[in-house]
Amino acid sequence: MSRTMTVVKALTLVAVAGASIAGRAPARPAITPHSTLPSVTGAKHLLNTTTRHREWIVVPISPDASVLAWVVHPERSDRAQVLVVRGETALPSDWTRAVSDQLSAEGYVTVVPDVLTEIDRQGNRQTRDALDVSEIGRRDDAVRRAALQLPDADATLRPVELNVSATGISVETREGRESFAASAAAWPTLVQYLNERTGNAPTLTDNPHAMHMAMVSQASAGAARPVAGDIGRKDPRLPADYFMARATIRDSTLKAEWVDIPLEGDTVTLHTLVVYPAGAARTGVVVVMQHGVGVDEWQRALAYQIAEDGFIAVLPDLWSGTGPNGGNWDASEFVDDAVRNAAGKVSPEEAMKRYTTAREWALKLPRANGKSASIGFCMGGGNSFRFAAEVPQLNGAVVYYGGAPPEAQMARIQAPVLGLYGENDGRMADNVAETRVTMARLGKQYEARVYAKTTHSFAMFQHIGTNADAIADAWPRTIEFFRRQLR
Amino acid sequence: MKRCTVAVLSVALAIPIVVGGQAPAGRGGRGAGGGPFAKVPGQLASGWNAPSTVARTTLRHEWVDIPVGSSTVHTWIEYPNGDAPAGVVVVMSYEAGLDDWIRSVADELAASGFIALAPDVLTGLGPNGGNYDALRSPDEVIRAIRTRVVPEQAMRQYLAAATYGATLPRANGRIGSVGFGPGGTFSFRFAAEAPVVHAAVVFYGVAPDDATLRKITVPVLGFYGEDDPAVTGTVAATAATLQRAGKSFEHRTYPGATHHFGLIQVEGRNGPATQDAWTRTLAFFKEHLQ
Repeated sequence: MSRTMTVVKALTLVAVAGASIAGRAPARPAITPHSTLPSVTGAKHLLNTTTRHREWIVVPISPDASVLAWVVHPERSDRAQVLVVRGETALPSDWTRAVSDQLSAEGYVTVVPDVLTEIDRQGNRQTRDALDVSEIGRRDDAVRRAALQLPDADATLRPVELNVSATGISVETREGRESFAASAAAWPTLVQYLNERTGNAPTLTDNPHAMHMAMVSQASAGAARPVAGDIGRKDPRLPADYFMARATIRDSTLKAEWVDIPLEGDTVTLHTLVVYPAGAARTGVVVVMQHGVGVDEWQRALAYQIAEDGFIAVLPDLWSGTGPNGGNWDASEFVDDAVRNAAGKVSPEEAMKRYTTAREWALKLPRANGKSASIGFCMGGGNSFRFAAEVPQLNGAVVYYGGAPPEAQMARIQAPVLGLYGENDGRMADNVAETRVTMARLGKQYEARVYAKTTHSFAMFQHIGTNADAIADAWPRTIEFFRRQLR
Repeated sequence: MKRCTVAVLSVALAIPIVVGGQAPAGRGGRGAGGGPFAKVPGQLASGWNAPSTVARTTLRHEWVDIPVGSSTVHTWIEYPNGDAPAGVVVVMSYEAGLDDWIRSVADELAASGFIALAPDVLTGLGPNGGNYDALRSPDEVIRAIRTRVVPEQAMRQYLAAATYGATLPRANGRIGSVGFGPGGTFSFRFAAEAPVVHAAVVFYGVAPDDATLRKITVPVLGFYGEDDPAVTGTVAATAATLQRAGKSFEHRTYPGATHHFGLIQVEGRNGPATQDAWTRTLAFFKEHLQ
């Protein structure tokens, strides 16, 4: 055999070799699986609707290049055995990824290597047609090592390797190789075998949302129904979407006011919306950091929701003074004018200064309890992450689809960071894996979720794609995070 | 923001600036176009730049009240530059009604050489007999459209607008329709039921029932987003029915695009979807309306 061959061919040979071993007799399994063997036609739908946390991680293979790997995380609170799952082709198919999702339903961290897709330092992607066999092995090793570094992976356990194809599923553990038919009937036996060999006996997290989605996908194969996301109606537990922002502000009974906070050494004052929760109790301060079009109705309505949920919401107009004649965001006639007028005028350092001033001002409010957090969206998400580095006294930072600061800044973070992202958001989503690794290495608290099939501004455009499901999960997490950190 | 009309002024987010300055790329990356900056000539405005686009158009435009039986339909009309004869296109609103974005679609059609008419299906259905403008916020518009608009009356309004358009001095006698979401559904139905129409474009709207579909005699062009299962899931059956009946139905489903991809161009793969769909829309109308 030639030393160089196409990867597809190589892996097919492996799979055929696995399948040629006599199938294990499907003895009656002693367990009730939490999963099933996905069908080829249902794979994409399963991937779109499963609520298990799944993501593409970026795995460095040299100082200049990385490859990808698909990871699905189990819904358990302790660390899990890693399974490396490979299909017949080196480029992971939907079906292979769906099989990995189902194995994760049993409590495993599953990883599907995509060693043919290379990413260079500039983020450019290239998919190779073929690779040297030894190079494939080297990249597989890198993926295996990266998988063991995942925060929920049990690095003390050797990864178990699975080769899956329509003709059979082979499992390779330290004890040897075992093959199973690729059928729904043989699936429980496979799961039981895996559990016995790896000692896997997880307590799976009860997840009503996942159960709901499971029921939905049974009811109508094909079309996933959103949990929320009816335009024209606001779910009181969630922030207003694009269509509901105006009515939410107009109809709110909460106390809200615009204040102009002096900025040290500046003639400009920071025009800031403050929204107070009902009642008179002391509570935490949340600095709301604007998305890339400024303090528009949607952004202001978001501040109202923070107050509805019990916190003092402080939304500075970051672009104060950049409007016509030194005016603020609202001095521009249209949103696109405001964006143009502000472009390049507020540096990242100035943004930090302004938010720091707003936080310090708000902490002196009679109702402030001394605790503070930040939340931001898109550009504001990046600012919120950086704010955690800038202000070590901050009690928490929530990042909606915003970038992470450089490692040197990350190292200064003291507060826990909660990151919420959409999978259909290019590098924003891809970078999460790297951020997770860096934060973990620095010993920082970082909980991140990347919602499948979800777009960038999912908190604003809740009704498209699967964004409704994403915000229905993300917002309660956000509020729970604030309750914990700002108590 | 003095000019803020009932249309959502806010809109969208997601400019590709984040701390660290990464540009979007790769799988499911946000597409170009439709950001919060100036509208690109020959392309649709997004929800972001639609208000400024409509407010600052240099094209001739007017509101007219077109008779429909014993009532009228309040209609926004824009004319292309020059005085050459032109095809007429009726623009059919999405869930949030005749907002700045829908009027920006009319503006874009006029800029591309068509006489565009955008009727207000909420004519007379607002508070105190008012129109779309009488409603205070998008949610009120959405509820009014859901609860007060009778499809048959909307079809009569659209037909009246098309007929009125055809009598304009500059009209060349050719008529098309384009609609978005529920407006796309109306556009599909228009192709079957309006005797005056020559071509219909459907953006993420579902088709009428099979009996109605079989009445279609003009070409229909449909655009759908992959991540819009409730609508896109209906396309295969529609295409099969039309194919069996020997009708012309060209349709495209864009990977990674969502519902409302023309309005929300910065999300998912909506930007490239909008650019391709709009280029095809203009070519389709140029073919059938000139």
